[in-house]
Amino acid sequence: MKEGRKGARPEPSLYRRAAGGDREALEQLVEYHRPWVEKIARSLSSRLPNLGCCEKQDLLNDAWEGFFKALRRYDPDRGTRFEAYAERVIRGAIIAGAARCLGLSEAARRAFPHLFDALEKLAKKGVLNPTLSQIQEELEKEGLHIPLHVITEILNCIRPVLFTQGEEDSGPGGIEEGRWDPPKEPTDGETVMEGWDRIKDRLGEERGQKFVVLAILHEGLGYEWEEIVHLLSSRSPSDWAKGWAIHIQRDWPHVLQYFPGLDDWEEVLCRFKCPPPHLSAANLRQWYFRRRLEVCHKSQ
Amino acid sequence: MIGLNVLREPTGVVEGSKGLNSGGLKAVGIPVLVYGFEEEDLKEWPEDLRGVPVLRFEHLPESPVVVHRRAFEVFQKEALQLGAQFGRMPWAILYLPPGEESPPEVWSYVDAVVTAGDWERLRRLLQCPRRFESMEWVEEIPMNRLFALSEPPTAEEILELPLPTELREHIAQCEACQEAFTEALEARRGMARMFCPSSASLRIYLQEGGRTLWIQRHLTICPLCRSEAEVLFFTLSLPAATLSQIVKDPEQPEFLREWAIRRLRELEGGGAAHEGRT
Repeated sequence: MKEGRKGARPEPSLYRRAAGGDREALEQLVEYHRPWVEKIARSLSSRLPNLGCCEKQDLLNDAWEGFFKALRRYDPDRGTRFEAYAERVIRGAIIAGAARCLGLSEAARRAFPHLFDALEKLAKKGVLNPTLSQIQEELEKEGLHIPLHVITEILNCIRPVLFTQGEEDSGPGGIEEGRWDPPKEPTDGETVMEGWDRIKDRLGEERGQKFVVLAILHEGLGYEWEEIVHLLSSRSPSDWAKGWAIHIQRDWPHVLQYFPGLDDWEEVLCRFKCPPPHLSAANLRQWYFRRRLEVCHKSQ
Repeated sequence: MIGLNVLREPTGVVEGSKGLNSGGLKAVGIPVLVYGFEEEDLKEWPEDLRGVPVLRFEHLPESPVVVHRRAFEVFQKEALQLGAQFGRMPWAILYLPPGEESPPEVWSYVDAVVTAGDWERLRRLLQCPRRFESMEWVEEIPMNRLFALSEPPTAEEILELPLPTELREHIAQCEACQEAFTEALEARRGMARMFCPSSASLRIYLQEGGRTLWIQRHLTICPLCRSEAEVLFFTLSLPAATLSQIVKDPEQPEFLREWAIRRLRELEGGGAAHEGRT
């Protein structure tokens, strides 16, 4: 019997309510989309059959992570169906999860979804046995400059898994037609980074980083402006810098790509030593408010 | 620059413009603090916008200052001094004559930019002298209240916000400030989620049994992530051992322990829907 979703298709308002933190709306969407999400996870797990430690349950959890990620970012007002948008995010999360299971280095783990995507694009163009330089060129089209040793690390790792036996002489990818069946949509990439792009584009690196620091402290961690002044006046607790680094590296790795050095508390403090703003709660709030105006209303 | 007066009593100058969305103002016009303007510039202005020149700042003005592009660099220095002296810079609007462009760093010193001739916009920005103040205080609304407010927020909701009493009473009764407040609220809401932990971080937090204090802190202030984490918790396949560990750990937040207890009950009952699920 064919698996299907039960009940009527969710109204756009349900997605809006879910995005606004309505738990019931979230639960309804999870229940409605459950068979579909499970199907995507099963489908991909059959294409990635030998990932060692990676169990099917892990891939399903990856799929749910992608589902929630997509729910956060989905805008029903744009007219795109949720499934069309979410599928690539879910697939991206599964592929990223698979990369973790492969035991790759940090650099290779981050590069894995992009490489997976590049190989698929090459395959679509008929380049089934791409050379390293062809892969690199494809990645560079997306603005990704992944070093050769990272690409090689991934290819060495995935070849026994993804590609057929006896292809050692057919190039670094060794892709054989019919066996290469990666996701049809690109992995979660540039489209989800619009907000960070906008901050960096409109504020520049230095002011953008200051804004992000204040936003993480104020919006993300709920610190009052007075408390933030205290933290930025070099009166932060002794273990603060270490905790900050771990927090940023672990919870905001994507922001680090935009603002390198954000995880270095000493560097953050140096940024705030340069006026403006002078360190008072009212000054910081005003500075932050004006940066928000700048980001949100460029043409004001 | 000619014919400009020193602003000695900024409070007095602005006083007449308080509560200004009334028709009474039209009789005298909107008093506009102008900086770096020449008499010739002001002759082009409509009658209802009455320029009140400012030479230098002895106090922090209570209403926004309209700064001519030609005086922007001087104003920058004044604003920095005021920032150091009074803890904040004045609210300001940059006025661009035809053909002029905004200078770099403009947004560090002003809250809006208007071009010459766009009188409607200038009127709107100056309709109430507390417009920018009302917008700026949106930054003080705690995350747990931010998404609980209606769109637009009602006067009753505004009166219950943790803002200075006098300001929230003003916003609740001033149409212009309510509109500006709502605009700022939407902008903040639109960006707030960017600074929440990712779904991946929430998943790790839940799978590891709530070990990350930063995420824990966030979950206590952010209702959006709290809802997401709760539904995610019941959607993920978490080992019973992890759930038991959470239940037994007195250091875990109450909400996480409660979820773990419910989830264990679900598993014992063969995966029945958890309480509250529709």
